[in-house]
Amino acid sequence: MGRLCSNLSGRIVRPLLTLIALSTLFGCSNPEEEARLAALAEGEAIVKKNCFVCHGQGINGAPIIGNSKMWAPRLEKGKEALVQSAMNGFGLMPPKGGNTELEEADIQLAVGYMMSQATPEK
Amino acid sequence: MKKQLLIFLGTMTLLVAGCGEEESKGVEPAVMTDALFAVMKADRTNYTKLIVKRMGPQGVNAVMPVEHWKDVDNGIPLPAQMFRAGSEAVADMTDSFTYSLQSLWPINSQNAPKTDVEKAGLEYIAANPGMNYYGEETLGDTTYFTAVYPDVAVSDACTQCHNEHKDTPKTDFKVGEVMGGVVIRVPL
Repeated sequence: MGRLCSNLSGRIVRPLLTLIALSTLFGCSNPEEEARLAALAEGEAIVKKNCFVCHGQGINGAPIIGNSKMWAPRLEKGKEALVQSAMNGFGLMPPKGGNTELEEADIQLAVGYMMSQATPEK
Repeated sequence: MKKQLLIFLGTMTLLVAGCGEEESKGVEPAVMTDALFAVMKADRTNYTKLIVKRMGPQGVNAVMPVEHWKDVDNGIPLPAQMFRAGSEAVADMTDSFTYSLQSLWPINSQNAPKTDVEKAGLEYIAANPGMNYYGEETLGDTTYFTAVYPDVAVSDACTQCHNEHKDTPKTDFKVGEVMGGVVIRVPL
């Protein structure tokens, strides 16, 4: 029995431990997740500089970042519709939040970030 | 033994008596001022959207939102003036809170900050867009909780009028910039 256990240890456990150690050492990279997080970080930076002044407070009815009640109907419209609203202006929101130098790619990132902060109501 | 028992019973009586009192369930001052500001924001937004934009020159052109609205037949107050009218009406009704629209760059000097906390609050919100300022101050013999909320240039109409006004101390406001603040004061 002792010899059986010793054999198993050699054939299974040791390689398994080696694999775990190597995974921990080098990390299991997920390029898609890394890209998603990078986009959120970039979006957050754009939002802080351009959008937070109104969306942080709900000025003129702007949906407050993180407020799931205000964002629920917006989330239903989908990202592209929200991006177009931000690009062209919507209600009392001026086009591009008033910063005409923003590109559509910036707006995509900003909207993506704000949508990510609006978790559905539980 | 008897003496120890009496001390024990006395202590227990005091403890139990203390448990009977209900703790005061007050509202945190910041919760109150945030709630008040939420109502103010909503009313101002609705006035802008439903009256000024809908009925004004950009809509059916039935009314003229203009600074000197009383001098114009179909004149109506600008959103900031309607906001001030509300604060005056509240001041007539109650002392439980006050609110005002102030600025570090006021067109009308009476809307400049008058206390150190008001000034600090206006400076803070201008430097930190989207954030509120909360503080306390003692005026006379009353201590107040004072909250300052940002007032933002939300359209070209805001910046153009302020930048071009003959009495403005600042001529380079941009859309999205904090132009001033709503100061809400609650006695503690």
